[in-house]
Amino acid sequence: MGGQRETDDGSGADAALLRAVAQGDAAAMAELYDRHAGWLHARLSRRCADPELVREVLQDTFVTVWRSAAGHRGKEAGGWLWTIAARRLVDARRAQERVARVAEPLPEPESPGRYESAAAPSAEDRVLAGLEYGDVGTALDRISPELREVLRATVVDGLSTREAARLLGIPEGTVKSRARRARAELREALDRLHPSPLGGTA
Amino acid sequence: MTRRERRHWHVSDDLVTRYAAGDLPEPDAWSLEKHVEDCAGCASRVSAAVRGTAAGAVLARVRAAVLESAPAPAVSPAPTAPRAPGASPAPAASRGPAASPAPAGSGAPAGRPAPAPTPAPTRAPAPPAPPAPAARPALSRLARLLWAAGPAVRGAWLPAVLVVAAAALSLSYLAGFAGARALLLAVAPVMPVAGVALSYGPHADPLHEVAAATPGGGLRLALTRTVAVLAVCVPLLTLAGLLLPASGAPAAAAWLLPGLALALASMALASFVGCRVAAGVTGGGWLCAVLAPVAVAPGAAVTARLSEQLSRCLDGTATQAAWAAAAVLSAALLALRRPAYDRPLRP
Amino acid sequence: MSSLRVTGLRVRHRKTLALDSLDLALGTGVHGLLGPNGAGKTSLIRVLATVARPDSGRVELLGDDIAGHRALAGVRRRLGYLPQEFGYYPGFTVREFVAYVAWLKEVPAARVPAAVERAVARVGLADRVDAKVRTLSGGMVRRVGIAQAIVNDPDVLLLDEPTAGLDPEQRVEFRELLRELGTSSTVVVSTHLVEDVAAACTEVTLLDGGRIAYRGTPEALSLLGERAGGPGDHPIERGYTAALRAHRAPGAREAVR
Repeated sequence: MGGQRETDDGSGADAALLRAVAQGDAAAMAELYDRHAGWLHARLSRRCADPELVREVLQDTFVTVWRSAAGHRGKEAGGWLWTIAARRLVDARRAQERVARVAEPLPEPESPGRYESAAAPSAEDRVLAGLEYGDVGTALDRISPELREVLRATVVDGLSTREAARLLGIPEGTVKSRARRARAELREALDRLHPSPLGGTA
Repeated sequence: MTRRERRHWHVSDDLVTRYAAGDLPEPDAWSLEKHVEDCAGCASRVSAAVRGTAAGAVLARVRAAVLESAPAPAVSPAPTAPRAPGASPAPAASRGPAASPAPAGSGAPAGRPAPAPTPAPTRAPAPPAPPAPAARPALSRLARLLWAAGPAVRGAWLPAVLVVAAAALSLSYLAGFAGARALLLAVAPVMPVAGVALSYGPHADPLHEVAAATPGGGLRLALTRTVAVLAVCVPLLTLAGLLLPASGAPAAAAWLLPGLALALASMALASFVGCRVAAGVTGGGWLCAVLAPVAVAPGAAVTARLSEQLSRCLDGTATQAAWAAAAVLSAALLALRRPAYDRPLRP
Repeated sequence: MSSLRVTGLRVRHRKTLALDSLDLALGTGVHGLLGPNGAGKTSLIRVLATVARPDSGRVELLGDDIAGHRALAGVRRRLGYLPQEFGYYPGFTVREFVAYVAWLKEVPAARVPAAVERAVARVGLADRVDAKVRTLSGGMVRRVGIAQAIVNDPDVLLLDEPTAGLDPEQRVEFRELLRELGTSSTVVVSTHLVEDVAAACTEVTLLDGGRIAYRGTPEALSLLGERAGGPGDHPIERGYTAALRAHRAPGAREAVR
């Protein structure tokens, strides 16, 4: 795989763009949008089949950026944008679901407005570390689509159990059990590929 | 996150193309997605590739909407933030006039002096090419303006005015009634009064509570709505009067000054007793003055008596001058009573 | 500095005394107004919104006594108000409606379109800006109400039960907006929902029987609840009942309300 560009050409620029956006600079917003909206759209589309909802979430995300850009700290702009987009998608899904069936009351989050960060156990860290190098790919191919879906939501997208449950439309308990199974199977698969001192189960 | 240091990997062109097309299998897609979160260079390449797909149109639409939703310049604490010269994709002025259709309310010219000229909003961030919504036809704009300016216009009042005009015409032409114009002139001055009463105040306006807390929700709004009411009924009733044979009644336009005077008197009086009572007093007073002598007259002489009484109330320079004076006095009293409109009037 | 100060405020509502010798000074931040029904929350907000005239007492908004006609107009330009009963014109689109209120608030015409867009986006209705108000759900209409209140970027924002009719996630978003607004202006929110207070308010004022029963931070009110152990599911709820009891305890005078 070829490295196409110098690595850091964008990150510093992204931070500067966000600072300008916080000041209400439309040109900066346009540039930020052109840089990130495309992949956000593609990524959202892989997770939601409703193109109208994807459009809505994408727009919401950037409208949020207008007023939240000032609060951006440290984190890479891309990761930060995805965090906003993923949460918006979960929220939108939840709203949609409620409209679909006038549902049983959903539990209020304990701390409204704050989202608990997803716990990332060490096996998941290993998956993440492996992702960029492709060796996890083969292992992932061997586990079932439902398990993969849960892994994607919790590990790749960084959602909490509750958020993943809302996104996928399954109970929290199921998310937890599937995540456990997925982790175990993945570890197994990884160990079969590259026996490592970390994975002990097989 | 420790894996940041090991940044030798970048997304290959093949991966970018397949991801943008939506047919990159899951594990490879995950790698790309995680990488793009941290690598602005690859992010731009993936985004550019996605723009080249069918999603490009959606992306452009959302882009315009996002830029459109920029915070207002006045709010920004530092309105003159450093901005690279020439960085702006388009000056604010490039917004077509149709892009921001003047909303019904804001266009209401009556009763409102031109807004304080503000410095050109040069900082208003504008999208390069906002999709301009189709300009509304002028006629519908006018209808909306009236609709906004006078709740009476959209309520029972407008049909009432139309009925009065139509009834007078049909009485004259279909029933051959000679006193139609007299009758119309007797009723016409009450119509603006009724319109004003139905236009302003807690009983008439669903938005009254909100309007009451605004600087423009007092006398300015009341006057705007009075103007809207007059704009509808003056031409309509005068025209109807012109179409009717005179048969001894005063001229078709003779009701205009009394109509104006009564409307202004109603507004002045409303500052004491509320719109509805005020309209009852002025409108009722007029009707009593005109119709009372008629009521005691025997059947056949009704038309003649009405015309006679109306001539007394409307004809002649002196009479009209007296109505003009009454209008001016009412306006003066209203100006004095202006602070009463600062708070909601009595119901 | 207090942007909002009332002294000896007395308001009669028909025969009952809605507010009784109330003294209150509020500065920048989000102030939650709690209290049982009939405690005087709406009366207080209507007086602060310059809609109702107090029977006696002094009301200063943004440094001006609002009894004067001239000062009133200036203050009102910097005011936002969402009444409990929010009337609207069903045939207007969201954009027209908010623009109409902007016109009433004397926002310079050149700024109106941008101000409307922004206000509507802030309440999350950007995609419905050209929809007729009558086609919107109750929660969305409520958000239109909030948009009209903030269209002039008010320095004093008065919201009477703004979260009524909003679903839980809309409330979460709305609280976020409240916190943001509270950084630069004085926001007074009357509410029944303790979560609103806990999540968004910097200060709580508890009214009971037209008087102030408690003032403090949400944390202090929670603490009071923990100590006094009043009934309730949420610490603030316990604090609320504890404060009410403490206020009613000395004289039975107001206990009836």
